[in-house]
Amino acid sequence: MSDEMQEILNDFLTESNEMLEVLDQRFVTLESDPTNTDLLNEIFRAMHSMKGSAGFLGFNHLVDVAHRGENILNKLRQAEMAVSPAIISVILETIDVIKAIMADIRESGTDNHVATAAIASKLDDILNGTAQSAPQAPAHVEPTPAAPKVEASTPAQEAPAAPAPTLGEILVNDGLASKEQVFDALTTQQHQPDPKTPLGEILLQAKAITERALDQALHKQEKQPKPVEEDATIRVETKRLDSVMNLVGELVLGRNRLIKIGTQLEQQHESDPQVRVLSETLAQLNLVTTDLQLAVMKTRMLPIKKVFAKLPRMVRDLSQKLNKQVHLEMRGEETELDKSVADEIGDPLVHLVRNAIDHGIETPAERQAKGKAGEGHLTIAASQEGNSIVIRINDDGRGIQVEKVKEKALAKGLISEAELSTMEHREILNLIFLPGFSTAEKVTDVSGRGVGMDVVRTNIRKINGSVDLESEPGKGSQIIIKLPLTIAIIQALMVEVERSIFAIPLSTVIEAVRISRSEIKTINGREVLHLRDRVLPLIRLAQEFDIPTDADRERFYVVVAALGDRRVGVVVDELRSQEEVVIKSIWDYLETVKGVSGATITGEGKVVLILDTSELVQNAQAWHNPGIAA
Amino acid sequence: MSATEQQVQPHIQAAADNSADRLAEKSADDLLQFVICLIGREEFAVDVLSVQEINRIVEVTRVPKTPPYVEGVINLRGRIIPVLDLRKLFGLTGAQQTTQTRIVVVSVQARLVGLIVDSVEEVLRVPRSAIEPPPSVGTMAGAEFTQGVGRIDDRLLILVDLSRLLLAREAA
Repeated sequence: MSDEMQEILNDFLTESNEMLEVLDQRFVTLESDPTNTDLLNEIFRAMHSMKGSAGFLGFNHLVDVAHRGENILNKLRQAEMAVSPAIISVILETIDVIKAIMADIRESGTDNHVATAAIASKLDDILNGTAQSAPQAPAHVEPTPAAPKVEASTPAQEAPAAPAPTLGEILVNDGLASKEQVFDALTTQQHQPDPKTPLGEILLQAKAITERALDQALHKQEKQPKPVEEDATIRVETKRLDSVMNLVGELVLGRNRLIKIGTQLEQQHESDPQVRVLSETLAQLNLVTTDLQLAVMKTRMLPIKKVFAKLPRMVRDLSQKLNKQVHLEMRGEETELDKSVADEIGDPLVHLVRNAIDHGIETPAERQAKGKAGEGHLTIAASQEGNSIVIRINDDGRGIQVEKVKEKALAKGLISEAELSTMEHREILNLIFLPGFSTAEKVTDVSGRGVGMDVVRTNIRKINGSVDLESEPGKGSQIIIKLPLTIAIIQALMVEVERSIFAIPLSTVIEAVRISRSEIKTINGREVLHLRDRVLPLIRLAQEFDIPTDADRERFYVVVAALGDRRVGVVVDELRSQEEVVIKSIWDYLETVKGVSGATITGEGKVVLILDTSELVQNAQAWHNPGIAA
Repeated sequence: MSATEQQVQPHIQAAADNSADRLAEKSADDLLQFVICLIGREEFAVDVLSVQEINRIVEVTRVPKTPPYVEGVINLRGRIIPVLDLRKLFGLTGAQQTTQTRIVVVSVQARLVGLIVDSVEEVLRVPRSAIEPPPSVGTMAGAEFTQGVGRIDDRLLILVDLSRLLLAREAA
């Protein structure tokens, strides 16, 4: 294949994949909003243009499947057929087949390896009406009042592609009317016989808004943009962005060095005008570098929407499969995070959502017996808090029983009785993240193979994030994931041990305290420190890393590092400074070194190793509890 | 670039150009070119095409829990690369670092590794016929890192097998 052809093919694959991702979500939206013709038209167009490109490239199987799908969509959009879950299921299946074909094309360059006969016949059945109850005439479809838009209760309506805001939304958003007022008015409207009074009039009658406010809102509604024009964008390979990011990292280090040199010069030759000019130039360079760093980081930011996109479909399929009713709500989809973080968080998220539906949310019957609504509620909310992205996954399911976790952990020998007795409620809950732990009574093909949660935690830790679990039996569980904004640059605390400098990621540092040697006690031969009611296991970095120590020091610093609820005190000689460091990839020579996660280059151009706090905490736990080390 | 580098680099460059000419000639007696480094009184030869640069010794950051011959890591213009001590690798006893001590940066399978040597002497052309297989294993330390032995007049060159340096890590 010529290079040009390969390029066209790659473009086709990239575009189609993006389209497919969006389609998944659109269909789930469509299911809950079946009369949305805009949505249908959009889906139809997407399918149509994909078919066109596939035809041009000669992928006949793909064209065939897409064509049949398109026929059905056409009927749906012309209201010759009504949207039903059965149809949606088949169309979703069609999309899966198309995805498989895409994968095939990517691998083999042809579309011959995926069986399409089955799906084709299913699609034909629908088209001929044989698989379907008699098509509903569009007139029978309830006209949708404007109500659902304000309730914003389904993920569908919160989806980014939601049509222009309704009058009610505008009123509420602009603070012209309260949510309750609009809601009341909408309820009144719903109970009216046709023809219904317009929402604005009802509100006017109820004296909820003034005429002026109504005019203002109506005017605004008219002005609402037609479907937003695509921004002028350019597609750039991630690899190129990565190399720009690396270069900026270099620049940051170079700047740090220059500033140090500049400061020294300033101290030595205070009166020299040249030095003063140098300082000013450096200050300027400093600003520009910081801005550049931010700007480059921004080019790598994606809205978390991209990661969330696959969830509605998954929740839908899974709840059908498990005969559960789950209502998914997603919030903060516009929250942005670095691509590298986004890439890593997808799988853990899918896993956690699966778990929540499989283990957390009960069947409708079970829920009703407990006096809950038959439909379970699953909320995934993302937000930025300081330098972190926080994702909260809430379900209102059965929650986790601490007793069960205890039993299991004991039975599996993950922990000792004595240790359990000293642990707090939350610490015990978080035992489910230990390798080899699984509370599912039966293994299903959905989850429960006991490899889940620890992999989730490992993956999240890999990108310097943390995961935490809270749960109330009978009421539900909450999982809180904290992620760094970017994984390339972190804040670090520089510490010194026997003239060697190490960097500790600041995100894991709780505090640093100065102690004298006599404060270090031993329990079972392990050094510990009593720090405000807590017994803190200590790690001497010098010992951990076989650094020869000459003198017996009297004074030490203890850096208290934490991962979730686990804490450990890292004993060092001195605290140096807090610095922004660029994480450098290191050769695999170092990858196997326990307790070191990477390296960075300081302002002086020296290489400094970055400590792997999670590894150290785990080691300390193993020490603490030698029985489970095996 | 330090003064020494500047001295050495053009030298290598010229040698490399020559090497291309030589290859084109396809003479019966191929000439191979090596950077000759000194450790103690032994001469080690590193394939000139693998050598990226030769630097003065800089501060090396030790990495805990690595084999003794891993001296640590250095900052090579923003890249962090491991540095191995050839002396320890070949089981020779130690000398102090001097002003002559160099780090020879070689590229092994697209990865950069620094080698600490006592000094760098010259670039030498060695006819292929002058290279013999290494003496049988066990007769000398570091035999596993020896690709062969070159005999030029009364000099004995130990040809360093760079690809083995990567394997050393696995063995460790």
